[in-house]
Amino acid sequence: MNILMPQLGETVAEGTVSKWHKNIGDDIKSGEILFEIETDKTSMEIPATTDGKLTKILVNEGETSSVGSIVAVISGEGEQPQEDDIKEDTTSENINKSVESSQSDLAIKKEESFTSQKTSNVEIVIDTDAPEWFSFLNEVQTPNDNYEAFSSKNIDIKFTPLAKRLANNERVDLVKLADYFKNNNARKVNRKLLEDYISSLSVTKTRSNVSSKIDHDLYPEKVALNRIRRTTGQRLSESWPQVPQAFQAVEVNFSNLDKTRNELKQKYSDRELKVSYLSFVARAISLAIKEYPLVNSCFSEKELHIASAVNLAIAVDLNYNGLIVPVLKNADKMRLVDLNKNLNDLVQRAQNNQLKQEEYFGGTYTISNNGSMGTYMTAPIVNPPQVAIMSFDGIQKKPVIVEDNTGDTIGIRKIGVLGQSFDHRAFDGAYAASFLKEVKNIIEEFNWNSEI
Amino acid sequence: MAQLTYREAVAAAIAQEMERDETVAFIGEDVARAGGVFKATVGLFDKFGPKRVIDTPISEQAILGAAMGAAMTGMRPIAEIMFSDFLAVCWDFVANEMSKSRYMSDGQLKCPLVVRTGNGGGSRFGAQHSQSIENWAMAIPGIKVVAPSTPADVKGLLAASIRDNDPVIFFEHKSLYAIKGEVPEGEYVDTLGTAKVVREGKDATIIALALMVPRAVAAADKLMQEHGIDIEVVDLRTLVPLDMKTISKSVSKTGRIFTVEENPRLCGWGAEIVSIVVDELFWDLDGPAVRITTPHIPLPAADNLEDIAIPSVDRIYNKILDVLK
Amino acid sequence: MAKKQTLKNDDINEKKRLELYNTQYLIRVAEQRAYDLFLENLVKGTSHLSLGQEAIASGFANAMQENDKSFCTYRGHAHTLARGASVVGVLGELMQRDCGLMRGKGGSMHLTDTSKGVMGSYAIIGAHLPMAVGSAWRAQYLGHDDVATVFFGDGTTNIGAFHEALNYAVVYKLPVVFVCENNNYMEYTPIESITAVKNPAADRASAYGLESIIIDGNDADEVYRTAQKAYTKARSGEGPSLIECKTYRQSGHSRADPGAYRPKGELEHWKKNNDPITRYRERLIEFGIKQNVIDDIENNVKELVDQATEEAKNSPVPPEDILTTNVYANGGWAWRN
Repeated sequence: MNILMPQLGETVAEGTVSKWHKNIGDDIKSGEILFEIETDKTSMEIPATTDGKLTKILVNEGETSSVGSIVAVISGEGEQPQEDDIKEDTTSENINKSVESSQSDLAIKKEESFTSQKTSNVEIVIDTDAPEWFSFLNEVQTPNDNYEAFSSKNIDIKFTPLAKRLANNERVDLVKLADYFKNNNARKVNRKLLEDYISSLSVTKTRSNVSSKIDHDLYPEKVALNRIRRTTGQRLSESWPQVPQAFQAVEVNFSNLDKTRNELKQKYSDRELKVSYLSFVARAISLAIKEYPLVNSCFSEKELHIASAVNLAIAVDLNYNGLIVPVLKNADKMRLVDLNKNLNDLVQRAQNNQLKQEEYFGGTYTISNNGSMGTYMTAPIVNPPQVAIMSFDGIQKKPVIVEDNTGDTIGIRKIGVLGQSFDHRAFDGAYAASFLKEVKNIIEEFNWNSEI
Repeated sequence: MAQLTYREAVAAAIAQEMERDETVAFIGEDVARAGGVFKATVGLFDKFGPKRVIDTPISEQAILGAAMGAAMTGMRPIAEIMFSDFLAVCWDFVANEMSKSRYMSDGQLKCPLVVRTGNGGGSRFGAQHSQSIENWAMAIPGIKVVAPSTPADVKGLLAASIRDNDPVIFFEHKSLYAIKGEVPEGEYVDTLGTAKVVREGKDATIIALALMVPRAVAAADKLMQEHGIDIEVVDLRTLVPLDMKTISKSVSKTGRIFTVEENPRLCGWGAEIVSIVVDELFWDLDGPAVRITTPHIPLPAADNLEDIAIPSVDRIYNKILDVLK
Repeated sequence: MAKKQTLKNDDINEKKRLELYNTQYLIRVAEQRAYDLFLENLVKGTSHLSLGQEAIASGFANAMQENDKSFCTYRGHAHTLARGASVVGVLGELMQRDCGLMRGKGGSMHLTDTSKGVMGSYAIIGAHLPMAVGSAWRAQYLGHDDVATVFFGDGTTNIGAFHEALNYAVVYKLPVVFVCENNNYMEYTPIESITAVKNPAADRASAYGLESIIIDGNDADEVYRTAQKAYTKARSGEGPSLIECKTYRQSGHSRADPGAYRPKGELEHWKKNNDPITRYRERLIEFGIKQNVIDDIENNVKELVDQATEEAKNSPVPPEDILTTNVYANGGWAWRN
C-alpha cells in the first residue's frame, strides 16, 4: 500500500517529513506512528492505516513533497513491493483517475445497495420559464451578428450600434452617409438621423412615383429591379440634386499608342500580352492627376480634400443586371503593364462576384468604359464624394486632317472621345478642360515605350 | 375592484393565504397586537389569533431561523423583519442558510417561506432605517426578490410569494404604505417574475422599481407635455426571477434604456440589467445606457437633503432630457 | 458517577444496551475510517471528526423516536450515522462521490438525510439552533408529537444565535432539546479562557429559566437516561431542555489540526481512562453480556464499514449535469426568462 502525503490544512500544497519513526524493514501495525510532517501551518504525526512491512521510503527526513505524492510503501504479508505503481510525485488527480479506472474491473453494486437509501431528490425538471438557450456558462446571450465590418475605417463620424445595424440592413453607403451628415455638422449618427436620411432618399422616389401614376394598360409588363439597381438608383437620386455637374469632352487620337500596343504584343507574344486601350487611358489619367490634383479630391463645404493616392474606380456592367464600381487602390503606383494586369483581374472578379471587401470602397476617380458598347460619347454621372468621372467611348477609324511640313493632308487615324463630368463646385471649366487636354496629350504624345 | 391602501393590501394578502392554507403563520416584532409598526398587518391578530399571528422578541436571527426550521418541516411561514436595514443583523439566514440548503442537500431540504420587510427611504428615519437593499438580495443565488409599487401588486405578488415553494424576500416600500389603488376583489394571485409596462412610449425605456415607478411615470408625463418626448416605463416588480423578455421587448422597441434606482450607485440592481442589455441588445441601442440612482452615500435625515439624494421626479426629468437632447 | 445499576433494577434493557454499543462502535470505526481515507487523499476538503464523543450521539439517537428531528454542526458524521443514515452515503459524501447522501454537493460539513430525520449539518456556528426551534414551533403548531434535538459545541454558547434561540424556545415552550457537547476546546482555544462562566451551557440555563443540567457525556447510559427525560418533558408540552455533556475530542478540531494546543498527556489520559467505548464495553460485561456477543457486534460493524468503504470507493464522481440542479424548488436554477 502506498502511503501518501496527506492534505493537512485546507490550503496547503506540500509537506516536509520532519521525522521518521520507523525504518525500512520494520514491521508495522495499523495505528502506529510512521512519521511526522510539517506544513507551512502546522505539524502532525501520521499513523499507518494498515499492517505490513515498511519496504520503501521515498521522502526522507528533511525532504519535501507535494500533497498526494507517495511518501513510503507498506507491503502486506507475502506481497511484493509494488514497483510498477510507484511514480514520482503522483498528484491526487492521478489517484482519482486510478480509482475511476479500477471501477471497470470490479462489479459495481451501486444499483442494488442504494434503492432504499437513495436520497429523495426533486425530479429534475427543465426550467419552463428559462429561455431555450439558458444553460451553465450561457446565462446571457451575446448576439452573433456583428455590424462593425460594415463600417469603413476611414469614416470619422460616430454611429450608434442601432444606426450601424439599420444602415447595414438598408445597405446604406456609410461613407456617403457620413459625408452627408458632416455637412450638417452632426457628430454622430443615430436612428433618427439615419431614418431621416433614408426617407429623404425615398421621398425623391415617392415624388417621382406620385407624379407619374402608372397606366397599367399601356405598361402591362413588369420587370423587377434588383437590389443593385435599386441601391444604385437610390445613390444616384441622392447625388443628382446635390452635385451641380458639367460635362466636357475631347477627341483623342489613339494611333500613336497603337504602335506601342503592337510592339508589346509581339515582344510578349509567348505570354499573349494584350494591353487594353482602357489601361492606357487609366495610366494617362493617373499621370495627368499629378499635374491637376484637384480632380482627384473630395468636396466639403469649405474645402477640397485632396486624396493621397489615385484609387481608380471602374464601372462594370453585370450583364444588364446592374452596375458595380470596384476600386483599384493605388493605381498611381502601377506602371502600364501592371496596371493592365490588375485592371483585368479586378474587372473579371467583379463580374464573377469575387471582389474583396476593401474593393467596394475608397475610390477617388471613376472611369466609365462605354466604348465596348460602341458609343460615340457619354456624359457620365459624378459619383460623390468624388468630384469627377471620365467616360471612355468607342474608338473608330476616322478621316482626320494631318498637319506636316508638306501642308495639310487627310489621314486615317483611330479616334475616340473622352468625356469628363465634374462637380462644378470643386473647380471650374477651365481647370477641368486643362485636365482633359493633359490626358489627351499623354495618350497622344507620351513615350509609351518607357513604360514597358 | 376595491380601493385599498398599499398597507391594507399587505394584510389582505396574508389574510387570504392564511384562510386558504392552515400551515401559513406569521411572526415578527409588534406584528400581532399592534398590527405592525407600519400598520401593515392590522386585523390579522384579531382574525386568526395568537397561535397564527405571533409577536416575537427582538431576535432577528431567531425569527428567520425559526421561520426556516418551520418551513423545512412542513409549514409556510411569513416572517417580518421590520426595517430592511435589519436584515443585516440576520443576513446569515438569507445569504448562507435559506438560499443554500436546498442545493447543499441536493433537494432534500426545502424552504417555502416569505420574509417581508419595510424597505426604502423618504421617511426621514436616517441612514440605518432608510436603505433600499433589494440589490443585496438580488446578489444571493437561491432566493427570489420582489418589490411591488402598487396595492394591487402587493396583494397579488405577496399571495404568489406565499404560495411559492422557494424563499422569497418581499420588499415593501415604507413611503408607499399610504398610497391608494384599485385591487381586484376576491382571491387574487399574481405571478412572480413578470414585469409590467405601466406607461407605453417609443422614444426611450425607463426601468424602475417600487417608489421609483410613480416618479418615473410622472417624469415621463412631464417630458411628453413639455417636449413631446414619449417615454415607456417598465415596472420590474420582481428582481429575481428577472423578466428579461419584457425588458428586451421594450428596449429593442425604443433603442434607449434608463434605470431609476433608489439603491446607492455601486452594484445597484440597474447595473446588472444594463450589463445584460448592453450585451444581448447591443445592436438595438441608439445611445448610452444611463442609470439614475441615489448617490453612493449613507442617507441623511434632514428633509431637504434626503429629497435631493433619492431620485426625484425633477431629477429624472432633467437627466433624461439632458441625455436625449 | 451514578448509582450503580444492577441486572435486577436495570431501567435500560439488554436490547437497548446493545443498540447503544452498536451505535457508538459504528461511529468509532466509521470516523476512524474517515480519518484513514483522509490520509489516503480520498476524503477531500475538510472533515471534523467525533472520535471520543460517540456516547452523546448514540445516547440521544437511541432515545429518539423515528419522526424526531435532529440538527447538528459540521461535526456531524456521528449524529448522521447514529440516526441510521447509510455508511456508504456518509463515506461517499466525504469522498465526493455520486453515492453520497447529497451526491457530493454538500460535503462533510452539511450531511443531510431527511428520511432519517437528519435535517442538515450546519457550518455557521449557532445558525441551526433557531432552525431547531422553528421545527419545534411547527410540531407545536401542527400538533405533531416530534421533538427537535440540536447538537452544538461549547464554543456555540457564546454566539448570538444561541441566546436568541434559547430565549425564543422558552418563551413559547417549544419541544426542542439543546445539547451542548462540551469537549473543552472551542476550535483551538480552551473554552474556559474565553467564556464568562465555567460551564458554558449549564451556567447559562438559569438566564433562560432553565434547569442547569451537566452530565458525563462519555457514559452512554447517563446520556440515554437524560435524553429520555428531556424528550418526555418536551413531548408533554413542558418546553425545552438545555443539557451540557462533558466529553473530550480525541481527534483535532479538523483535519488540519494535530492538537498541539493540548497540555501534554491530556489526550492520553482521556483515551486511557475515559474512553466512552472502553467504558461501555466494560459496562456490558458488567451487565452480563457475553464477550462473543460483543465480538459479533464489533465484527459486524467492521464488515459493514469495510463493505461501505469499498462501495463508496467504486462509486463514480457526481455527473456534471447536477451542478445547476436543485437551486430552486422546480429543480432548476434559472433566474430569468
